[in-house]
Amino acid sequence: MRTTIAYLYIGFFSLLVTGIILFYLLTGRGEALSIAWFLEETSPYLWASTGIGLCVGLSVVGAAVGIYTTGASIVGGGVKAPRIKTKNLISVIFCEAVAIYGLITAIVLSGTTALEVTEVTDMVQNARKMMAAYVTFGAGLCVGLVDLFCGLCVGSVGSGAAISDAANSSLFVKILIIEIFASAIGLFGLIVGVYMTSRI
Amino acid sequence: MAGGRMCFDIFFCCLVVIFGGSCGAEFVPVLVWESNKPTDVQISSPALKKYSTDDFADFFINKLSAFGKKPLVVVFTEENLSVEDFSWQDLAENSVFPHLESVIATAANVDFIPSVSNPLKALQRLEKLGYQWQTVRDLETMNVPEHGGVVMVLEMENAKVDEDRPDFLRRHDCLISSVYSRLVSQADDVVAVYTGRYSSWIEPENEPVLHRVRRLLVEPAPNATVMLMNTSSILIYASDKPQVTESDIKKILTLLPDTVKRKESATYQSVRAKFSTNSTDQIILEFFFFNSTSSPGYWSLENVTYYINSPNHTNKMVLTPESGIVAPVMFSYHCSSKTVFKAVNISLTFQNFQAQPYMEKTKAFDDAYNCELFFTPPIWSGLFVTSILAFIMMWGLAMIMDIRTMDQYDDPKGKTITISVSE
Repeated sequence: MRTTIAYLYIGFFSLLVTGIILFYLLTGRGEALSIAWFLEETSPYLWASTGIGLCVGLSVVGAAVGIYTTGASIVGGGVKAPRIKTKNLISVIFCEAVAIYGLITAIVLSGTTALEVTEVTDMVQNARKMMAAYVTFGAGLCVGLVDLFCGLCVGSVGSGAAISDAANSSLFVKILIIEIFASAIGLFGLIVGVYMTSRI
Repeated sequence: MAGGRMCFDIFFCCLVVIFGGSCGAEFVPVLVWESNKPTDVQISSPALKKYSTDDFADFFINKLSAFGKKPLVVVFTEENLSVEDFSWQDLAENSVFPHLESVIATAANVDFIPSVSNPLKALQRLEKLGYQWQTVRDLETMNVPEHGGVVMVLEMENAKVDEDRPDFLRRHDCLISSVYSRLVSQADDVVAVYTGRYSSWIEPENEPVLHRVRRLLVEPAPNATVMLMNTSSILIYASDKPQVTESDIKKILTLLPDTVKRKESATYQSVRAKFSTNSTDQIILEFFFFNSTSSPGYWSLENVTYYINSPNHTNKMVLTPESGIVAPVMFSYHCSSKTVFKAVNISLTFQNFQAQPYMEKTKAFDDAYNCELFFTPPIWSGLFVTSILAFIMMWGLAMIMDIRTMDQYDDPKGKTITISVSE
C-alpha cells in the first residue's frame, strides 16, 4: 500500500513536469524553460521562508523520531527494570537538544529576513537580496537535514542504551559515549548554518 | 493475456492500414499515339473503363505486335497528370497542349485511356519482350537509337516555384512535341506514350498563389482602427490606434501608411513612421529593436523614440517599455493586455501589440511569445512548495500505516494482567 502511494506521488509529479516540459518543447519554446529564469524570477522570500520552515521542521522530525524510539524502549524496559527510567532520560535530552538547534537557527534566520516594501531595481542590491535568500534557504536546509539524521541516530542509540541498561546496569555509561558522538553531528550542522548566516 | 490480445489488435490494424494504402492505387490517363500506321487494323479500347495494370499491358503489347519490327517506344512521364488537364481550357478556349494536338492530328492510331492503374509498371514488362530500357536524363545529350526495340523514358521535371499548372503543362507540351519531332525524323516507327505517375489535383487555380499574400498585406482602410507597420524585415501590429498621454492630454495617433521607413545597423533594426493626431501635431515614432549581445539569439525592443513636430516646437523623447519586450529571433512578441512605453510625464499605450524584427519574409508573424506566461514564476514556486508538502504528507501516511498494535500476547479469554504498584 505504501509503495502504491509512493509510486502515485512520484508518478503524478513526474507526469506533470514531463507534460509541462513537452508542452514547451514541442511548441518551439524550449528556451522559455530555464532554471536560470526560475531562480531569477521567483521571489527571494520564497527561498528564505522555505529555508526557515525546513530548518525547524526537519530538526523537530528528527528529534521526534528519536524521542519516540528511545521513549518506547525506556517505557518497555522500565516495566521489568524500573531503575533505568531516571538515568535514561539523558538520551531524551540529547534528542531534544537537536530540536533546540533547529529552533535557534530558525529564530536567527527569521531575524535576518525582513519584508522590504520598496521594489529594488538596482542590480547590485537585487543580487545581494538573492544571495541572502539563497543563504537562508541553504542554512535552513543544512541545519534541518543534519538534525534530522542526528535525531534519528541518537534515538536509535538511546533505545539500545535503555534496553542494555535494563539488562546490565554497568553498560549504560559506555553507551552514553556513543550517544555523545551522535549528538556532535547535530552540532556540526548548527555551526555550519550559523557560519553561513554570518555572511549575509 | 489481455496485453497479448491488444498487441495482436494493433498489429492487425497496422496491416490493414498498410494494405489499404497500397490498394488505393492511383488511376492516371494515358495517351498513346504512333507515327506510322503499321497495318490497317485498328485496335481501339473502350473509353470509360478503368484499366488495371495487366489490362493495359495486354493492350499495349497487342499494339506493338502489329508492327513488323520492333518500334521505338518513347514514354513521357509527368509526376502528376489527370483527365482534367487534358480538358482544361483558358478563357480563349485554348487547351494546355496546343502542340500535342497538332502532333495527334497527324499521328496514327491515337488512343486515350482515361484511367489506368500504374501504367509505368505495365510498360516495364516490355523489357521481358526484348525491349531495351533507356532512361533519358539530359535532352541535349540524348542519342536517338538507330534501330527500334528501345523504350526511352523521359521523366519531365517538376514545376518551378512560381509557375502555375497551365504554364507548367504548356512548357511540357513544347518539350514533348520537340522531342517527338526529333525522334520521328530519325527513326522509322515511333510509338509515343504520355502519362503520369500519380493523379494530379483537380482544376488548377487561375489566379496565382500570391493573391493570398496580397490579402494579408492589404493596407487598412482609412476608417479601420488597426495599426500595421510593415517593412522589409520588421512587422508591427496593434489592434487599436496607439494612444499618447502627455501631462494628462490624451492623443490618438493615426498611422500615415506611406511614411514607414526602416533603418539597420550592426546592433539594431529600427522602423520609423509618421502619425497624425486630431490636432495639427505630427508625431514620429521610431521603434528600436536590438539584437541582444548579452543573450545571443534574442531580440529586444529597447525603446521607442517619440518626436513631436508641433508648429511651435520640436521635441524628442525616449520612451522605454514598462515590462521588458524580449523574444527569441524567429518568434514574435505579443501582449493582449496594454503595452505601455513610458518616460517622464508621457506614456504611449498599444492594445493587442504584436511585433517581430529580423524577419526574412514579412508575410505573417511567427509564433508569439506572450507577455502572459502560462506558467508564471508564482505558479512554479507554488508547484515547488506543494511538492515538498505533498512529500511530507506521503511520508506521514506511510508512517501511520506502519503502526501496529501490540497484540502478540493478547488473549481475550485469558486473565487480565495486574501490575502491582511498587513504591
